[in-house]
Amino acid sequence: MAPLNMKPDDILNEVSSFNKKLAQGMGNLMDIGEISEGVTPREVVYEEDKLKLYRYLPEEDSRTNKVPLLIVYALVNRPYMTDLQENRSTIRGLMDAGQDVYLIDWGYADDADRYLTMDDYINGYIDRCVEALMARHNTDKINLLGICQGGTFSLCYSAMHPDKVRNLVTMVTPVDFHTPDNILSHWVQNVDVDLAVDTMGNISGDMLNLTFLNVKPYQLMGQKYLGVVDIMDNPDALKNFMRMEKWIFDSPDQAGETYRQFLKDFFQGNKLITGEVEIGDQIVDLANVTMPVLNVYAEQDHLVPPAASKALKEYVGSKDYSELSFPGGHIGIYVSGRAQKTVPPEIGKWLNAH
Amino acid sequence: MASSSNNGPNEWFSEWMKVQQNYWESWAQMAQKAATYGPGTGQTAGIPDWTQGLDQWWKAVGPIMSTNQSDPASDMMQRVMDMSRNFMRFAEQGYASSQQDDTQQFVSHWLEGMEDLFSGWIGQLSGDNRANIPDWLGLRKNMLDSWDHFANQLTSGFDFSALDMPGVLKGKEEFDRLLNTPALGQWREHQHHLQLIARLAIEYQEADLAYKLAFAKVGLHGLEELRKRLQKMSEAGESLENFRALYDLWVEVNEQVYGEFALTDEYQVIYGDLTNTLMALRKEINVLNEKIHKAMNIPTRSEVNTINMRLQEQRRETRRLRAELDALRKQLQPAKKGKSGSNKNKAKSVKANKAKKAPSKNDYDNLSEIKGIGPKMAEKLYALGIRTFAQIAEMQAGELKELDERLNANGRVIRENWSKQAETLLGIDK
Repeated sequence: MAPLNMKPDDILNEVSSFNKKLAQGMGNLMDIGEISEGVTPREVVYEEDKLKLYRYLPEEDSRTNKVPLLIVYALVNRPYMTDLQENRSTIRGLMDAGQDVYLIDWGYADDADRYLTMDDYINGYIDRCVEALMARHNTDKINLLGICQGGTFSLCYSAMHPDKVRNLVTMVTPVDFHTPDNILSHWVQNVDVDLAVDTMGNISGDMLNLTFLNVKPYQLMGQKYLGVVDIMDNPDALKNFMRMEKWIFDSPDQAGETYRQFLKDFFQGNKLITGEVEIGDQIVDLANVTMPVLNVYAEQDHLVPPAASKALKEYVGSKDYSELSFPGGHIGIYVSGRAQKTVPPEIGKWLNAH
Repeated sequence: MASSSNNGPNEWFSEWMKVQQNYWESWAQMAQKAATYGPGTGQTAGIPDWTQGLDQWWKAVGPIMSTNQSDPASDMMQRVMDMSRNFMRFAEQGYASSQQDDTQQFVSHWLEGMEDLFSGWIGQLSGDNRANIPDWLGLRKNMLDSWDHFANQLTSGFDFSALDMPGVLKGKEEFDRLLNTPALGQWREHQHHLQLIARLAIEYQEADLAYKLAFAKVGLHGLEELRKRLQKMSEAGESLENFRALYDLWVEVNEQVYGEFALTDEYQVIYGDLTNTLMALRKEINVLNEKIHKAMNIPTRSEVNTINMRLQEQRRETRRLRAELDALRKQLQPAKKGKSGSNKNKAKSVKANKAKKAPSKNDYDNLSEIKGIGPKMAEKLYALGIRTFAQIAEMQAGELKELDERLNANGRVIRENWSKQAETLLGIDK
C-alpha cells in the first residue's frame, strides 16, 4: 500500500547530503555574528518608564507626507519584526512611500509594571506619545497604525480620542474575538483569568509564546528545525532564519492588569463589538471611530483569522472604510519578500491620498 | 576540547576542522561498508548506526560551538540536532528495510510501529502512570517538554518530597484517604495547608495526564489519516521519493487533525483545566512561601504588590493633577498678559497661541471642572469664545448639538450633559 519508492543508494544519498548540510550549516552558524534588533537608523524622541518613542531617519528626506505616522505595536513580542533586515522592513517600505514614521517600543514589563492597566497604556502612554508628536509637528491630528494587539489598542484610542487621529490603519487586528476559526480565543474561554493574574502577576512571555507555537505545534516546534537544514549551507538564508528565530523567542511578559482586561473583556467577553468595553471612566464605542480607516489583514493568518479582523467593517462609524488583504500569514505580512512589494506601498499610497 | 573556551578564534576553528574531518572519514567508511551489503550481495547489514555517529560528532563539536554562540543560536542548534537525530533514526530503519528490497513494506511496518508506540503510550497514560512519552520526530522533546519545563519552574519553590507524595498516581485512592485525615495538634494549620497543596498537585497531575492523553490520541488519529492518504496516493499511482517527503506528509496530516481537535469543546476543557490547576497549585505554594518569608522577616510578594499598586495609583493621580495645573496655568496666561504684558511663555506652544486669541475678558471659569472636559477640550471651548459655565448652562438643545459638531465631540456634549453639569456648578458657586 505504501508508495515509498526508494533504493538503498537513494537513502544513503539522502542521509549523506543531509549530514553534509547539517555539518556545514553548524559551521555557518558559528560565523553568523550578532543578530541586530532592527536595521533602520532611528532616534529616541520621547521616553517614559520603559517606553521609548522612536523616529526613523531616512537617508535623504523622503517624507512627503507631513502628517506623522505613529506605529503602535503589540505588547506581545518585540517590534523589530517590522524592521528585521534591510530588504525586509515594513518601516523602510512606509518611509519609501513618503511617511514620517514613529514607533512605540514598550520595552520589557517587569513585576513593578503589573498594575499597568489598559487605561494606563491607551489613555496614558499612547496618548502622551500622540501629544508629543502633535507638539513636534505643530499639528492637532496624527496618523495611527496599530499592529495585532496594538491594533486593538489603536482602535480603542481612536474611539476615545477621535479628534486626534486623522487616519487609522489597523493591521492583523482582532476585532470580533468569537469567530468560529479563532483557535486562541477558543482555548482561553475556560481559563480562570483572575486566578492566573492574581497568582502570577505578570503573565510570562514564555507561556504566551508556548501557546502561540501550540497553534501549529508539528510545524513550528518540529518540522521547522528539520527544514532549516536545507538552507543551512547558505549563510544569508541562515541569518534570515536566525533573525526570525531570535524574534519568536524574544517575548516580554505582559503586565498583569492589562492582560486581565484584554483576556476577560476582549477574548472572553467579546465586548469591543458590543460597545461594552470600559477603559478608565470611558466606554469604548467603535461608532466613534469616524476617521478614514484602512483595515489590513492576512488571508492565511492562523493567530488572527481574517474574519476576526474584517468584522471591523460592521462596527466602525467611519464612512471611509477600506480593506487591504495580503495572501500570507500573521508574520509573513511583515517579513515576506512579496509583502515588501505590496503592503507598505499600498498603505503609504492610501495615507497620502487621505 | 573543554579548554576551547579560553582559546582564540583560530584555535577553535582548527579544532572544528579536525572534528569535521574525522566525521567525514567515518562517514565514508560507513558508506563503503554499506555498499558491501545490500540487495544482491546476499548479506544484510542490519540497522546501521548513523544516529550514534551523529551523536558522537555533536558531542565533539557541540562544546566548541556553544562557547562561541549566544543563547538563541545554541537553543536553535539543540533543536536542530534533536530533530536531525530523530530523522536519522527514521532513515536507519528505512535503510535496513531497503536492503531487503522492501521499502514498500517499510512504510507499513513503520506505520504499525508508530501505532503501537502511540497505543502503548495511551495505555500507559490511562493506567494512571507517569508514562514514557515516545520521543518521535520532536513530539515529546519540543512540544510537551516545553510545557513541563514551564510548569516545573512555577512549582520549583516547593519541595514535593516533603509531602511524601507518591511520584505516580498509582494508589491514588489510598493517598486521597490519607489527605482527608483530619490534621491535629499544634501544627494543625500548617499541615492542613500541606494537605491542600498535595491535593492541588494531584489535580494538576490529572489535568496534565488528560492533556498528554489527548495529544497521544491525536497522534494516533493522525496515523490513521496518514494511512488513508498513502492509500489514496498509491491508488493514484503517486509515490514518495524520499524520507523527508514522508515526514512532511506526516506533519501536514497531523497538523490538520490536531487543528480540528483544538477547536473542539473537549480540548477547550482540557486546556482550561491544565492552566487552572497549575495556577491553583502555584497560588497555594505562594501562600506557603509567604508565610515562611514572613517568619524569616523577609519582605513578601504581597507587600511588594501593595507598594506597587499604591505607587501606580499615586502616579496616575500626579499626572491628573499636573494636567489640571497646566490647564489652569494656560487659563491664567491671557489674563496675566493683559495686566503686565509679560511674555515669558511666548509661543511656547500652539495651544497657548490659540488661547491668546480668545476674547480677553477676565471672567473665565475653569471649564475642566465639567466631567468630560479635559484641558484640550477646554482650550477648544475658549477658542470658540465659550469661557463660562453660564454660557454653557444657557445653551438650548440645538445650540448644544451645534457645539458638539463644532468640537468634533461625537455626541459627548449631550451624552455627558455638560449644560446640566454647568448649572450644578453655578448653583454651588452661588
